[in-house]
Amino acid sequence: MNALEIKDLTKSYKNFQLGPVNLTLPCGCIMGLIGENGAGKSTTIKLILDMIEKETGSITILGKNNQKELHITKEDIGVVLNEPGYPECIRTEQLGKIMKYTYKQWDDKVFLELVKKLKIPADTDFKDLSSGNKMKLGIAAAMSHHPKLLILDEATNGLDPIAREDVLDMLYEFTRDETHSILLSSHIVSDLEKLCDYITFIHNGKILLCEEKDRLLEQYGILRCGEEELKRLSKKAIKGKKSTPYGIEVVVDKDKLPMGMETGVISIEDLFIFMIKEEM
Amino acid sequence: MKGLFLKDWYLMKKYCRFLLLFVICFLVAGFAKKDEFFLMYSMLMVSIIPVTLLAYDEKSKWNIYSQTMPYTRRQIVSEKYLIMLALLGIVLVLICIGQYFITKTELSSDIWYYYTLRIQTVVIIFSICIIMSSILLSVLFKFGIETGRMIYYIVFILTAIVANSIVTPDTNEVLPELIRKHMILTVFVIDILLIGISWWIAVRSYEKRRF
Repeated sequence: MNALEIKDLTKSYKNFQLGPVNLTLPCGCIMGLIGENGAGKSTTIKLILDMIEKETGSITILGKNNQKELHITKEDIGVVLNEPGYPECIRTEQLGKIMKYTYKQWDDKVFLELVKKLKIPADTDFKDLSSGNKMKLGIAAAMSHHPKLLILDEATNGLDPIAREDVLDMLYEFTRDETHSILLSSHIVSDLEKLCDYITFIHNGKILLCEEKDRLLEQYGILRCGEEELKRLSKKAIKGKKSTPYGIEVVVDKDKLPMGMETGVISIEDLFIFMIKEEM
Repeated sequence: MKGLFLKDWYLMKKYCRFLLLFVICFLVAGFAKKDEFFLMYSMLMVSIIPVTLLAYDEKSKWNIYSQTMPYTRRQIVSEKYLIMLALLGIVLVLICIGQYFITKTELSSDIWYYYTLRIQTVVIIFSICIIMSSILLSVLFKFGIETGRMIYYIVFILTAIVANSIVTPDTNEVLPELIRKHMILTVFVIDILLIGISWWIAVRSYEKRRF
């Protein structure tokens, strides 16, 4: 059973078309959904949670169709959206009590441990917390009911480096259980690069690639060359290029390169930037 | 739904305590002055509370975040209707108890007859509050707070104009005998029907609403 399966998912707005989206998140894995602002990451997540209506396609969460009794499936899903929407006057302890009566598997002990670990103030109203602390509280609540799938929409964006490190460690620890999975959307690619097993690039509503991270790093490389060498490359090999004062930097599919051409190591972030600019 | 009730309890403690204090003051004034205006106003104020809670939900984006939790939209709508009924029910019971003791201290005979007459007026006021609250909740669940509030004001004013032209001091006399004899029961039956219809519309609208 896969944690998440999306097939031929589409959604249209006036000036934006999402899809068709096809992606599969195996159990026990972490998938990073990378895209620039307005690429369709949050729309995809809202479609998964049935917060907006899809036009075509199917979504299966933990083996169950998301159109059938999704409220039961949500017991096993922990969600953090880009803006945690808790009541403004609520404090941490009160939130714990509300969630205790919301989730059947709520664990007070885990929640208090996470609140302590993330140093979330206990005696401050939610509206008076910093944006980082609000996000940390959202993450603590999402992880405290023993979910099998975590869906995080730009959840690490507002965090300071130390908190981000703590959260990434917690997420990594979460997937040591093979039945646990994470879908994490962000435009901070460096976070995803450290953590994720699978990477999905989304740009302007289109999925550019959905692949294992290690395979991506093996498959693509960066070639520094001149105009003459560039002409020798087939169009299929080129995923993106950039002219610099010292020559041309080209992101290439190593399998499609002519013999004898040496490539350098590319980061996921560079791969993403090059591919997006090529698309644009 | 316990989590939803607890959340709204915390909101009421924080944001509605002065409103509740006014309700108590109006109740006391109504009994002391034997003035039904104060009793009616206390019911009107209490009927606003579910709407206030809905507004805070929208402001904090709880209405969006609750979609990630294991609640159905039917439960989310039903919780607000139950709060409305509970609050109005509590105020109604308090007024009924208060009116009984007042009638008993004022009169030595036919207590039950005069008590029933007084309660009829209270029940009609209760019904008006229930109907207006139900309409408002169904409109707000469909359109959201901003648009819903404007639609409600238009409906409220039109209803007041129509009611003013239809209802006269002689209205009671033209009602069929059966209804006049069982006024309280008739009003409760109409209330239950209207609340049911309003709840059904609110659930259907909210289930289709997209965030």
